[in-house]
Amino acid sequence: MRTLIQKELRENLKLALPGLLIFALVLLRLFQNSETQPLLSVSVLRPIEFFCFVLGLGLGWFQIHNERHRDLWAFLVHRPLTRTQICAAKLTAGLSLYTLAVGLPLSGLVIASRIPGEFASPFEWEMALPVAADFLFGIVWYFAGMLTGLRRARWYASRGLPLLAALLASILGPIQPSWLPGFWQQFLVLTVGGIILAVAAWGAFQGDGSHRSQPLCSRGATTVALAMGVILISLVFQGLLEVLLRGNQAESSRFEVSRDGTVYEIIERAGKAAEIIDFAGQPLKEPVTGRKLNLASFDKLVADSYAINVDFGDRSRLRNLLQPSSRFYCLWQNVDRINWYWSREGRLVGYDTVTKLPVSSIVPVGFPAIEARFLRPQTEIETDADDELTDRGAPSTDTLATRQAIYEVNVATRDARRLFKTAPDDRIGGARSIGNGATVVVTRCFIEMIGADGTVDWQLPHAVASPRPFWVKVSRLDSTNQFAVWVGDYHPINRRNAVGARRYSAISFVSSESGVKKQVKLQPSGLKNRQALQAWSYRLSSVIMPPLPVVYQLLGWESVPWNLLRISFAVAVVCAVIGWRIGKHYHYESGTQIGWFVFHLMFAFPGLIAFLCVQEWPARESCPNCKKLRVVVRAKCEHCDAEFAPPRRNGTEVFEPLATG
Amino acid sequence: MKSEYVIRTRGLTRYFGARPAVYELDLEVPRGGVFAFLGRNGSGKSTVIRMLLGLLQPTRGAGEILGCDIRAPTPEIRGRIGYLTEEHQLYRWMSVQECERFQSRFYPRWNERIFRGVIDHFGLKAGARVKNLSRGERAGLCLGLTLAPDPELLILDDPALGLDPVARRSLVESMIQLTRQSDRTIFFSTHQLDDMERVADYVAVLDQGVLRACCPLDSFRENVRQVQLRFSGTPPKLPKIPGLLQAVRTDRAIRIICVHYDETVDGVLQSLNPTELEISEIRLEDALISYLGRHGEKSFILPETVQP
Repeated sequence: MRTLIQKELRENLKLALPGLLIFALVLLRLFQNSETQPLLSVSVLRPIEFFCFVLGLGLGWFQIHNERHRDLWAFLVHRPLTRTQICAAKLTAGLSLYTLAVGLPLSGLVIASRIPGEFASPFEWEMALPVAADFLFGIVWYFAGMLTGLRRARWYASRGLPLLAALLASILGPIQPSWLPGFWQQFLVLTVGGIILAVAAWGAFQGDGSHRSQPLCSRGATTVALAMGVILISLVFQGLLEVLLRGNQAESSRFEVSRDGTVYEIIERAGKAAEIIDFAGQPLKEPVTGRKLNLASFDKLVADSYAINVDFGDRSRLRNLLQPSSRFYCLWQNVDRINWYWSREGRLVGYDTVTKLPVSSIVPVGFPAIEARFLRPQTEIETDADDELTDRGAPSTDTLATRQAIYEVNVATRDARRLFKTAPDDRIGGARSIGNGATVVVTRCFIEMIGADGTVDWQLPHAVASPRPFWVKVSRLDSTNQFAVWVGDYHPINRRNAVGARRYSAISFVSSESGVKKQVKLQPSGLKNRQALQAWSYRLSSVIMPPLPVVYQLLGWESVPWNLLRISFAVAVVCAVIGWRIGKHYHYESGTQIGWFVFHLMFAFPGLIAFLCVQEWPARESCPNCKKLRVVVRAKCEHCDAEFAPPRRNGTEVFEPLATG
Repeated sequence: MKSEYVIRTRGLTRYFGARPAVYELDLEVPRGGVFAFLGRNGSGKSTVIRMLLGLLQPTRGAGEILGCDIRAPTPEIRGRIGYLTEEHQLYRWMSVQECERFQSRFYPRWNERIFRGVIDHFGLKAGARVKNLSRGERAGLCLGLTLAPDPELLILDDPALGLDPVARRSLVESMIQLTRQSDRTIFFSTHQLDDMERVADYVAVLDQGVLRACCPLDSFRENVRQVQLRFSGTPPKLPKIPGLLQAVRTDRAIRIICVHYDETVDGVLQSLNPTELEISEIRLEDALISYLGRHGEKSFILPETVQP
């Protein structure tokens, strides 16, 4: 086996070595140009992903492509080794070269990033995890390349599906980190995807690319890999279809409050000017001209607002893990050439921007453990998930919260003074400075505003019903000295959506003098097509991707109507029946039939396509005995149990016994 | 205890799509000797060989090679079989010496002397790269790599393809030498009928995936006869003759090549009232060409040829 490994290393070094050199040079350049921690910088991570993809895919593909000639393949496999040994030798060499070409420069990057004085920001070894995820991402592509090279299928048919399976794993993993923000989640997705593709590639190696002659486990893995690819196509197809069906009907609605305290609904429709209406449904008009007010003019009337993401951190662990975590650190303030970062240990760390060395840290010392950590400063979550990773936005606040107190932090004197403390049985879910020394605090029982001296200016009682995070927005109504407090459910799927698309369900008007003045429920009134569009989307999901609504329902992301779940189930059953009929047509054994039936129920339409892709349909010919069509792969006719007819004689046969010994 | 047969197949069948490339092949190759496997291009020879080596799964049927199921030959069995591929493919970036080093590490019984002998015979230099070798030289190198592990069974898929007459003669001599040394078996497919005649003990003929002949070489020769029928006038129309391979019609004669010339055939021919009926032996090469080419070659060249 060692000889084979050496041969593979030698053969593929021509790809790995230039890859190593180019990748190292690119990384060096990116490192030199990076102003923030490069391990968390999207401008560094994206090229890394690209190189991992190219080198992984290239190595996997070429290791098979090099021996694509039938006779050279025979020369490789016809030797006193098992196929598994030969395959293992290939994988050992391929992954070693990949590690050399990608792992070596990446290790260098991590070590260089760790050197004190290189970057004026904190470093943790865990910051190397996104890079590690990218490394794994390339390995998934390596197996996908190998499987694609091995499978005997046409390019215009199912040959490229393993690549789409890898793409799906990549999208769920490093490419779109907002979907699965935790490294362990990405690791899980990449590992599962990698194992499926690796087993499928191993099986394809065993069977010379043929599906029928593979071991059962690899046939299963190949089918699942292809189903993953079809799922991606289905999702894209569904998206395109939705866009096609929606046409110009797409519309959205949101509420805003003007500085005088009037609530307006803004309805935006594709290709049309935004419609701004009040609760009575009357459009907002310019007082002078009487014409409908446009959005740009309206924005000048809108009150200043501050959104707070409220999270008491008491959801189940699994649910909690699916939320965006506060990663590593965020820049809080820059004062006197010192960058003050909030770190996820709950303290403030200062870095000199000139020497790029740490200078000091601030913690709420002298308090119970629960108070010894600052909560993450509240900033607007950006629409671009990449910015979340580095958190470069600096909030203009000088107060920070712990779970039970609000602190005024003075970075000049480097101390934290407690301004406010909640009741012992209450907790803070989120807080934010809204200017003029005021801070809005959201606890389990109240939404309240704290003044610069720590006194409560106003208080709005509320009850937290769900452990889910939610949004609170406070709008300053300057003209009436009131505040509008918006409360909205937190939507996991839209957790990083645009600020404008965030939906609030109720608005309360409060003031320090008279407390709560009024409360209004917010119901979008102007949307005509929204429900119809959502119904369309669900119906498409139910038909094209039947498992998806069920997954939504199970994860609690969407409350899918029962009739649509019934459609999903019906489509899955139809697919299973079609699969069953095909299997019966080709006389599959009962175990195989049941296996495919269950598979089709689970994967439905994409599963059926994958099933059609992996099957090698046996020819059928007429049985000389019963005259019915019979499959040629069986020794006996499945209808009458007759054997195949011997070759027809033409009288020229010459058969004589051959002497032995 | 060693089996009498190194290769046995029962109903071995392989379909490519709806077309049977090999159909219900029952073949037995006795241990020792040289077995020639003949057939026209596309007749299924390479498919059979690839199935025997486990490189291609049969659609149905079974087979054994050195007592092992052909669907899953073990590494030990593969170590006892030498296989020379049709196009003599090797790693182009390797040198002759590297090829030897690479191959020898897998075979404990690697015979350096045999390898050197073959390499020297073909005049190959140790440092020469495979990509710079001519087709014949590459064939020589492949032959050396196949023979040096000292295999018990040698399967050669058209080994003389692309070789010049000198190299072909060397190959044939090597084969003779090899089989005479011990009870090794050589199973080879070829188009070179003169080479085959020189070395083969047995012959099998595959025609469009169907085995039509499997017998000792001498028996084959004896079974094929040429009959010359002369007539006083225009020859009559030929009736159906069992075993007819070829019939060539001229102004006053018909020349027939057929297998199994017996009383029945004689009776049919006599019924044509020829003025003269002459039965003669035929050269093996001609017999095989008649056998292999009975599907229309002659009529392409000579319009007056009558086909069975």
